[in-house]
Amino acid sequence: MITYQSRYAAQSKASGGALSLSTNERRPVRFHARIAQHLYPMRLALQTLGELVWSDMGWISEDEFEERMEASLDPVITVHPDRVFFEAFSQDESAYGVVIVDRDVFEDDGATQCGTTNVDFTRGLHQALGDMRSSRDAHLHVGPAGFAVAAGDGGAHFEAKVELPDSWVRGFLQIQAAMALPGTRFTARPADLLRMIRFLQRNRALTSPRSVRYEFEPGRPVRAVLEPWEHEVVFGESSHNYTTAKVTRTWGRRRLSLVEKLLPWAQNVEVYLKGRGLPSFYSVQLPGVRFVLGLSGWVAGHWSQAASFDLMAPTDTDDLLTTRAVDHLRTSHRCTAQQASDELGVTLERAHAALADACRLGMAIYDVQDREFRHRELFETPIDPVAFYPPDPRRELARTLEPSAVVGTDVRRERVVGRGKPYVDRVIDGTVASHTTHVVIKDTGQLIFGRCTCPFFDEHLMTSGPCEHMLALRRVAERAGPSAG
Amino acid sequence: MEIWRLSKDDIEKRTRDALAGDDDDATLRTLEWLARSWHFGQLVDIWGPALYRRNRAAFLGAFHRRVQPHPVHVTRAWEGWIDEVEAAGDERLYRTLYQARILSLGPEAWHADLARVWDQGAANQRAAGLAKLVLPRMAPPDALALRFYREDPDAARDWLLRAAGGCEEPGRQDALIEAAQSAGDLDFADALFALNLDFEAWEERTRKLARTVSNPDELGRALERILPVRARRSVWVLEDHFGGLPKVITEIAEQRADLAPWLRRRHGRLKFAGAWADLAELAWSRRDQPDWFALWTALSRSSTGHAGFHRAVTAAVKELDRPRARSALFALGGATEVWDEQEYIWQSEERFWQLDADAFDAVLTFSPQALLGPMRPHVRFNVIDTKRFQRVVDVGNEELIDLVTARLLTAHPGWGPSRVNPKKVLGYWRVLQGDGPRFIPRVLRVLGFLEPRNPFWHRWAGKEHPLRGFFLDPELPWLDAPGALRDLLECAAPSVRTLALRIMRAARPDDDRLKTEVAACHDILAGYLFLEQPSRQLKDVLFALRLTTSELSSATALVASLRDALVLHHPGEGSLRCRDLLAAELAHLLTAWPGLRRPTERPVVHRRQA
Repeated sequence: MITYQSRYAAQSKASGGALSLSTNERRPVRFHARIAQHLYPMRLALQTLGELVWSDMGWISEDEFEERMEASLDPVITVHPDRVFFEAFSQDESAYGVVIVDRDVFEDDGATQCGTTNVDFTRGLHQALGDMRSSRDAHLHVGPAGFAVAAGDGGAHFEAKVELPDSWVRGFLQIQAAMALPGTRFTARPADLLRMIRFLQRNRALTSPRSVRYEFEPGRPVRAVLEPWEHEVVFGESSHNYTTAKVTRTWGRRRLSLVEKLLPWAQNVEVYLKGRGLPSFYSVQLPGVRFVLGLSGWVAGHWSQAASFDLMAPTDTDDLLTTRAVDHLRTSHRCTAQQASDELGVTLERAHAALADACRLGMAIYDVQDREFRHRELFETPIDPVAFYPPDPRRELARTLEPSAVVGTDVRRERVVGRGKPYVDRVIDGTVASHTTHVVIKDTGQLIFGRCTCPFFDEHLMTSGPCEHMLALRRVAERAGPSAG
Repeated sequence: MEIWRLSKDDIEKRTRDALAGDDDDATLRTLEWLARSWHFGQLVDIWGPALYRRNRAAFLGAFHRRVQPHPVHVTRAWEGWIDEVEAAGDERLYRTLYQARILSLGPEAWHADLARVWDQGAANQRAAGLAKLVLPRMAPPDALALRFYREDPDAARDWLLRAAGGCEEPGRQDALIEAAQSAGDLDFADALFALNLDFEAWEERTRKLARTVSNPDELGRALERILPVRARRSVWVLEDHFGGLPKVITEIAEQRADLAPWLRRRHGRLKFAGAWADLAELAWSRRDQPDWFALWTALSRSSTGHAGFHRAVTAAVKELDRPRARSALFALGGATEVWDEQEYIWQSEERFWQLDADAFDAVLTFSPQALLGPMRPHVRFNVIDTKRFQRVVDVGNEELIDLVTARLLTAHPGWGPSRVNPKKVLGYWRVLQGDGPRFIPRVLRVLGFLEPRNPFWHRWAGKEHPLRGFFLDPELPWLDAPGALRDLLECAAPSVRTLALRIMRAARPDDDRLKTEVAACHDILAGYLFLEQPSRQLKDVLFALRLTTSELSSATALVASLRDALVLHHPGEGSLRCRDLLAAELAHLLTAWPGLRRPTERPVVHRRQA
């Protein structure tokens, strides 16, 4: 358990056109501004975030009931020069939401202090959000000092101490690893996604399977097939770059209803699929505001339970490089892996590895749409990675299997996606402890694909990350260099 | 043919026919349909072994849950099947089948199997072997449990906990607990103890810990370890076996003031409606200490019932200094979990205790702003009578008057005599109506306070009610207030949105104010095309949107929205009538602006035959 302690100057409230979010005094952030435009979409997005925080769509066993957290972590707000964003994680650890508001939406009212803190977000506040109207003057006040002055009394401080299960924290952090995974991206019409959600609300699946099967056929728009009815929803005007037929399945589709209220006013939806049973992300673009919903592979498949997406991340980093990367982000607030590589004077692969490591430690966040990393320190004091990421048994097993790993072929292969620059992947084939193993590593060092003849892969495919044989083969190949085999 | 019409014989015959077929996919689909019948699970000896052997993955994925472990179903067909399941390593299924077999053979067979697995298995295989033999609601025999633990505690521990945890009456297991304590295996001993249903033993031990452990954090951890597990999971167990638990905890809390932080964190695990009143009273008496103050607010909000909540609110505003009273109201306000007596479950939906008359008056005297802030969800129409409404008016806080009026709007005329004289309320508002520009903004605020989740109010919104007739009147001077229509459209309450559309419908189309207002709402109205709504409301939306479509740019945007909205009304989905309305509007626009047509969108002109 990690004890998360916050001290608030007073409670958050919304009244008289002012949305006053009380922040943790231990982590001062100041942002006072008038909401000059797009108030309605912003209100909808914040209300959706609140509903996500309290959503719980999981079926849990009696044993898990004992571990259920009685309080959820308040949403985290980050103020950057170009945007303000609110993040939250659901109680059932299966859904993540972030509301990204452009700074253009606001007219600043006083100096701004950038940074990350958590805000006191109560159900009463969530209800009161419904009072905000475009016709009325609306202000957003984030910060302890200003709020205390407005409230007129200094005696309303309160402390909040929340005990967060390690799994919950690890889940929150694993999201970053999942967001940076390569995958499939396509743009959909909000009406198509809404049609899918409404169909699921009207029809109840009494038998399995219960997945959403995204089908990609060359030259045709993306199609979502809802099982078990085999009901098709064609995402009109969507396009993809697959030259062969591909299918990706995701589960826990009921959670998509979290974004239902946003879709009537959305301009478009970008869907990011990371693979079969792996997380998926839905970025709903509204005027001035974007809401990104991240869903684990299925409701019961929590982020933290042996998901181990970080096993697919590039491995070539160390604490010093990660610290340098975080320092760079602290001053620049955002950067791509390429920019970090130029700034830090290291290869792209190492820069990506350092930034991904920063995400794992809660010190950065990956923007799935803009494909860049942003500074965001989730905790006051950095977490202990050894405590939160105990040695993965697969990594340990991989070390013992390395002597038996034989690299067969190790070639670079170009992969052209659309009209963009070609990607150069490293394709490695070999055998490890009599299992035939195949891995594909992206130019940023991420393991993006794998196959193995072992029982672990047979049961999980890649939904729980790579098996120990893939890890062993990768390590041996990396040590030998690209000319091996 | 509905599945429920089929008899057991029909289901049996169809099952046999399906299994005799060659087409795997067709067989599977048929069996999935038949599986919806209640009789299907009782025929497991017919489909179970056959389907498992034919398609193990499908069986485990879709049919495992249909296996009903009843001894009646155990037939000779199972004999080889259980062994196959065990060999394949399908542990969950194996346990289900094994349970049925043991129920037919009797517990002695189970004891014999346990002993055999233990004696014949190697040390590292015992735990796995025992794990397969955990049966719900069957307690392991004491002698065997003790023997296993003494011979190999590491192998036996998990199994003993699972077996004890699964049965309803595990027994005291004193010998096993004593053996564990002697061996220094305190975690295991405590875990077993927590599974017991012996209240006296728990009380004795708890009181002893409170006397002997001085460090409060350690004491909290120690109490946590022995807190009855079943009492946490089941209110029945709590009431039947541990009814005295709150009293014991309260008495210990009296002696140990340093226990407040632990109580604050853990009280939520013991949901015992109304039983924590004594502890709340104790916490109140120690309110000067921050931890006890926090505990008092938490208990009053969730665990002391209506009466406790009202007392807490009243006490907070009357007896605390202003800053602390504010803090208390914030902490007391908000949603809580409540015990639903009809459903016999704890409702974790958003529920708010209603303020009673005394509490309302107390908070009103303390600070009207508090009723608009943390106490707002707790204000209901039941508490408002004519005198109270007049008091609110006398206080002079306009926002509060609007809130109270909004609550009165939700009162149903058929639910007993109204406590408030509507003429009094209307009298206030009619005076305001004559005041000109302040009137509509106030009405907007009243309507803004209406909660969308109240289903009864919206169902009866059109019925005769003097207050509703006044506020939901489209003939009020809405267009005199710029932004009024947008305000109404942004409300979450469905009736208020309907009102906005009726206003647009009722106004004169050539009214410039209407055009200006509707143009300012264009973005919101475009989103309304995608809402689930009755067709008459969609008609009003389309009417309003047409008012703003005078140029190519607005027509282009609207055409795109209409095309997208049609997606929601595919055949078999959405509404046929809504689809017709959208198509008609699209046709109208494409006729007026032919350049917006797509190649496939050409008008079909039916000519008279020559």
